[in-house]
Amino acid sequence: MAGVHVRNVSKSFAHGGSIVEILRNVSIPVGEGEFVSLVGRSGCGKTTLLRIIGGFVHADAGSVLVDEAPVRGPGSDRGMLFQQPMLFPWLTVLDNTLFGPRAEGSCTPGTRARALELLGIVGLAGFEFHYPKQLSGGMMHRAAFARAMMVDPEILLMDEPFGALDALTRTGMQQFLLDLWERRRFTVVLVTHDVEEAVLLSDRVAVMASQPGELVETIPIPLPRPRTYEVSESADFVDLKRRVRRAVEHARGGTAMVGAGRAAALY
Amino acid sequence: MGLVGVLCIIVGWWLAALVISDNVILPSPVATARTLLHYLTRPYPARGETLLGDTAMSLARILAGFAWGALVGVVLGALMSALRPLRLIVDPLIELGRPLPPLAFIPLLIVWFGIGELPKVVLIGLGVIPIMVVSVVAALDAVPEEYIEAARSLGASPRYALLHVRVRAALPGVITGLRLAMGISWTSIVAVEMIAATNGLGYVILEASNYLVTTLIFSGIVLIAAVALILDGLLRLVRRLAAPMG
Repeated sequence: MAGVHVRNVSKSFAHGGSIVEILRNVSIPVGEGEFVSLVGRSGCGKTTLLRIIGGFVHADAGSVLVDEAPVRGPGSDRGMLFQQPMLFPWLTVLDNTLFGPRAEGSCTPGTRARALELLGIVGLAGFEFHYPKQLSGGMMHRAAFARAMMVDPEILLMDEPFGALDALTRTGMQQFLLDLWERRRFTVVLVTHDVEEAVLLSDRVAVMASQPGELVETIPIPLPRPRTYEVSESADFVDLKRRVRRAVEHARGGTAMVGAGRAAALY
Repeated sequence: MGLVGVLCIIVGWWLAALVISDNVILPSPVATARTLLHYLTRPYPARGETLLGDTAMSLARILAGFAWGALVGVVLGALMSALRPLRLIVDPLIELGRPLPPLAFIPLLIVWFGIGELPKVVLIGLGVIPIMVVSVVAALDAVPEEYIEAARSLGASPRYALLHVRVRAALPGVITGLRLAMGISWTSIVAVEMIAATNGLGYVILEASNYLVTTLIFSGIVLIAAVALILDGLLRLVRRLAAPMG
């Protein structure tokens, strides 16, 4: 297992002739086996930061270290999960799961058996030969998890992975992720705008301000583990949720600025 | 269910032929079938070719023209999708050329290449290229970037992700482009065979109308429909293999 060390990362994009500063001097250490969520308003650069950790975007300044080595591009040490499961529609669930080992050329006689076992763990036994289109939204996400787990990533990067699911399925997937994390203890960086989800899942919640994206506060979540969804009814949970929500609301952001502009226009 | 429509057309045709009862204006389906079957393997007296031979001739021209046109179109489309400057240069040319019916080039191609096989094969290819370029570029552009990123974070090299994900994901769209291009090929070949050929189904239809042998005109049309349907069926089969579950 490895930790992720985000060090003084800055990033700007050219947009319509002007330069927009997306991230300013962001530093977040994520320990080995730690579950950290990034929350903030839309436009706070949390997705950009995740993509920089993933190696898909290069930082203008600063660096991301994984196991002391700087990230130079994407790699199978950092599994990536998106809002859409992004299963390959031309492959069966089993072949999707086997994509990583095949791409790496690391298939052994035991690989297929391990894929089948993983699909069993994520509750997809009996659906190995189905195509993604034949699965429900939650099942597709679980297949995406199995596919990502197949290459043994030390770090999982998730960009609002349950954002497109209905409330009931989302709750089920959060429980599923808690169980899976309990079993494997990989390092997780989760981007979400759902404060409740961040508190339920994380060891620490990093709150970001917008325009430019800056780290405002890191709030530890000392709720006992293993957690289940019931923890969300405890007083501690409600307190922590309130604290995170306040931090998000008080962080400088696009909406607040629009509000100020509107107030100014009234006078 | 698809057969119901075809049956309706044939029954309507048959009833209309009964009412008109003039074999030159509208021969019945039965008379057409008789002519078709008769000349399928026997040469028509005024010419030395069987219908089967003419069909084979048209089919060979189509396959040759379609093959080179599709190859050029796919390669050009793939390069345009990958290289932005090339796209900026070629895009306006395609947009300029696309509304031009390939048939407008027939006289020019005859001047350049004579009336042999070359102008016909060139013409079909010219019709196929813009359709394939447009559909290949669209199919490659439509591949979500997250597919590539997912593949890369699963350990795929850039090359593996390109071949096994980007190209593979674009395949169904490319095959749909091939189906459209096949349709244009038939338009081209029949037109050019009517203007500059001494065999092929387009020539048969024109010749038959010169001699008012309406049953033979219909035979030619039916054969074109049949062969076009078979070729499209093959492409649809390939597409189903490329995109299981639609």
